Amino acid sequence: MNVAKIQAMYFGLFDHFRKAMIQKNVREMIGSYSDPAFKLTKEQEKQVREFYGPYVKDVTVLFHAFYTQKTGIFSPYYLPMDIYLNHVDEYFNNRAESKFMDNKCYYPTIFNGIPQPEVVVLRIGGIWYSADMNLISEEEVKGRITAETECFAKQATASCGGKGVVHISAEKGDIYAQFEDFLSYAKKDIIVQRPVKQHKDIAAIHENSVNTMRILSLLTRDGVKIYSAILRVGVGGNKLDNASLGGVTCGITMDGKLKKGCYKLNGDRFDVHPTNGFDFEDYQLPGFDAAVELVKKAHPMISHFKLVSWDIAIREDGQPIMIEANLARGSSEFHQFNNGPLFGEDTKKILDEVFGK
Amino acid sequence: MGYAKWMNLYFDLYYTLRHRFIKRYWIKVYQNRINNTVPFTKEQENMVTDFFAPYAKVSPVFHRVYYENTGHFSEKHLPIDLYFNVVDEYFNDIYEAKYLDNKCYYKKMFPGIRQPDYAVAKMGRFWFDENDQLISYDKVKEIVSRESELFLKAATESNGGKGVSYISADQGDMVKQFEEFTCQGDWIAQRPIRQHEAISAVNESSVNTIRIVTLLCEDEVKVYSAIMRIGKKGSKCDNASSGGITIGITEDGKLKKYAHEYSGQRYDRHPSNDFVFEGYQVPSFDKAIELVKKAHPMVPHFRLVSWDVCIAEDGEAVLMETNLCKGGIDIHEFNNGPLFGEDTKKILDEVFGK
Repeated sequence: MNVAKIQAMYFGLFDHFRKAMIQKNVREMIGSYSDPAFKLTKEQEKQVREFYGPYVKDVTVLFHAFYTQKTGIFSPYYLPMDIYLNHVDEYFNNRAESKFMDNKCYYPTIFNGIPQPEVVVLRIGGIWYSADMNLISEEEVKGRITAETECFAKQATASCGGKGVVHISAEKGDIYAQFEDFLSYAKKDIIVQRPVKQHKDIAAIHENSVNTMRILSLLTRDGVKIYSAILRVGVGGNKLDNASLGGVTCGITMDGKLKKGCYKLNGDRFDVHPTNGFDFEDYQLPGFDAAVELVKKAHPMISHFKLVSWDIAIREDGQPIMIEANLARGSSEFHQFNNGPLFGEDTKKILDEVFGK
Repeated sequence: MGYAKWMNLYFDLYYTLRHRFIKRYWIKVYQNRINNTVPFTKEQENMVTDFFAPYAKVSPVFHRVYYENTGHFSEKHLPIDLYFNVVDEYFNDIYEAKYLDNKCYYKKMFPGIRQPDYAVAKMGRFWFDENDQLISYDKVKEIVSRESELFLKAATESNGGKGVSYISADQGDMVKQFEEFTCQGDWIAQRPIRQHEAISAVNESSVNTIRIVTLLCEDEVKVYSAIMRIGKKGSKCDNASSGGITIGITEDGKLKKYAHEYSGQRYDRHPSNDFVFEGYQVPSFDKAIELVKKAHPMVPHFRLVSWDVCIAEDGEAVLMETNLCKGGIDIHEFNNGPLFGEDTKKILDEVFGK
């Protein structure tokens, strides 16, 4: 046996435990969000087991029960989170590579030509850069930050769920002092961006946060296919729209209209916006077609990642702007709450490909 | 104990074993190269041990082989195991390099840096044309059939000339040759670079590239060593590991007296065409240096990088390849002496946190 084989076995064993842990964690989490009194009918359970039986050994109806009780709609095609994370996502995306490539400091380079928020300064590998990628001194960084009235300072990697994104502004006091505070714990790469002024029609939904569209796309030989789109909306004056910070999500139809009702991360449903009462139903979003075009143009630029979740905002002038790409492990729950099974009618075809049937 | 702790333990065990394996491997390689042409004294051995004492226990076998082949002794040579296991891992994110060191990414990673153009590239099962547009495989064949010659290269981990193939219309049907090249993962079909005629004079058949080692410091890019890699007669590849030779380049761009083979064997003229190296001025050497100084800040997660630069017909420098980590140092130590020269102590202090 050669070194490469031993190495593969060693890491294979680790991967096995990692996947088992992910499965345990997501099942526990969904269990805690679910109403224990709710049960699927025997017939529904049978459908789920028959559908997923050919792919995995330990089929659970937990996820189907969860989505059914939250949305009121049953389908055997809902994608269980553990299958999504451990199989589907790992098949389509190079998870190990995403750890490095999914770095906001790399976005301007990777997605060259795709509109993105204006950069004030970046720090990559401990070295400071201006927006045009020239080396700058710490003195210059200070000068550039101080000259801004407000910015978002972001940790460039693994900043899931709004952690590591801070809003700094001259209004709140010395802007550089706020930035230094951020630096005191942001150890790795960081990017400082100017805020995006969003379209008035999107601000009307919840004006304090930049409400972004989350679009899920699959890169195939026949082009880029859009599987689901939702709008993430902040609540209660929060600057960030992330569902994990208490924001809500609302489905978007393919012609750019909002659906009825919205969901929190744990699946709690609201007919209207929970803090301002905004009624989502049939509300036409500006720039949705352009956002889809942007995704279709950007996705081939990172072809090692075939199933990508994109965060797109719409600027004042109606043009889309890419805020973030999730090259791997983009959430699946809020898509399924709002738009039903992630891959809809294609579920069987996709699972066949993933499991090599 | 939490998950993160278990994970760290599990990986630490692997890295410890890997480091040991690398150390044993390189010491063995160098032990086999000892030829006892000059005596290596106890005193020299002590100088090596003393110099590295604050950092690590090292084997003097590397110093001995360098001494035997070059006639110059220095305790500042970097033992190869120490370089791979500690120095390289300190300066470079070797895990990120596995993914980022991909020839398909160079065009984006190094905007504004001249590189060979590609006719087609395959990235993650998809084909792209020279404008980075998704294309079908039929279109790929059509493009390839129009080209007269191409280098097909594996985009990642193509160390030592493996995974490189040269195809040309002179040798037969382009598409047939193209389809014979099989490669797992990404690959790229590049158009050849016509090198400067003065460099062809050194050896005509290969593109003789300049290998430059740079260190990215906070406010500057420091060049530590430059050598030229020269192919043997008839060889299209210049790599030392596929039988080529290497020779040091002085700061003002002149070749040094002796070239070395991979094993350390030295020559004062090219073994197949009798070209005398000493004093030969490398054309546009300053442009090559300028290129790496411009390019290095574009990959700041990698602070110690080896660059392969070629000088094109028109006298401009062209970036052929980067080694974001694990660039070989033996070729530099043979030709130019200790990699970090006078800075060795300062750099080791930084690496070992002294």
